[in-house]
Amino acid sequence: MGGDGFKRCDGFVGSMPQKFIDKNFTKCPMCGTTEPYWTIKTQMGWMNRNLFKCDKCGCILSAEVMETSGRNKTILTNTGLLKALSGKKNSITYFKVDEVGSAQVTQTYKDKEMPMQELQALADSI
Amino acid sequence: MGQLVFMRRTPSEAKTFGGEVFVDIDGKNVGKVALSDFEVTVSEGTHLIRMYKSHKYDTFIGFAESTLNIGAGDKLLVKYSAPMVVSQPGNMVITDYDSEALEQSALEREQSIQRDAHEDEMRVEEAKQKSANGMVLFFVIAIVCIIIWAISWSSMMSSF
Repeated sequence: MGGDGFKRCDGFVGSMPQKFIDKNFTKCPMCGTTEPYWTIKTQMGWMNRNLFKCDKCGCILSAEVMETSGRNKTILTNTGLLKALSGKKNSITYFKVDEVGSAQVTQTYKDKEMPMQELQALADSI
Repeated sequence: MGQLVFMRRTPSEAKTFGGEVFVDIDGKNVGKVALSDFEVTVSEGTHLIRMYKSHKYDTFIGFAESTLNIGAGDKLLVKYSAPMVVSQPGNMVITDYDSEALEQSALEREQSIQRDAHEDEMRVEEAKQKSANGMVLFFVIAIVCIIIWAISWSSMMSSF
């Protein structure tokens, strides 16, 4: 665990986002490592977000807590409705690239929100 | 003698990718490619051309190399592209020199980088705007629901 508050959550607490990122991003979309060893942190705010940091390049991906827990997949939840009203598809999980990390030469992906499948395709292309 | 012309970096390219692009010929650094074309005269024969760019912490990335057999009077154009990821190699495209093609390539590269950067910015802005619109709509719906509930509650209370 670094001093920035990111840590592995292999126990029960925080296991849901940890398992989510480990399962869906076996390869880092920013540096392409197959051992990203994701660490996580929760950012409290108007919409709580899970932050995921790659151990190799230091890139930070984020997604709403409700997004990774799957509760945004329906409009029957407040955040799911908000997501639909924002013009996003409820069936798609969206991630934002908060930091591009040390492996990217440019900052072109910074602050970009992308569907998870697009980020996975990007990871596969590296 | 032959001549190698290294295509200049465009302003958008230099701004987006940063660093400096270096040129080595036969293992010796002969200069940098900046915002103007870089020309080098070389002897006839086989030469190893190597290009790379500087990165953070005094490191170099994006290596690309090619072996050229240069004849007397040959004039070749070398275009270098930096990678997007530090672990990837750079790319060199070598063609016969043509001043018009050079200008066209430089213009196309500049426009392409500007267009992509603009698209990225627009995408981020669009997402922010949609998110803000969604938030407004959400609150409008919530307020309408509260008003409907308040009316129905007050009418229910008045009926007692």
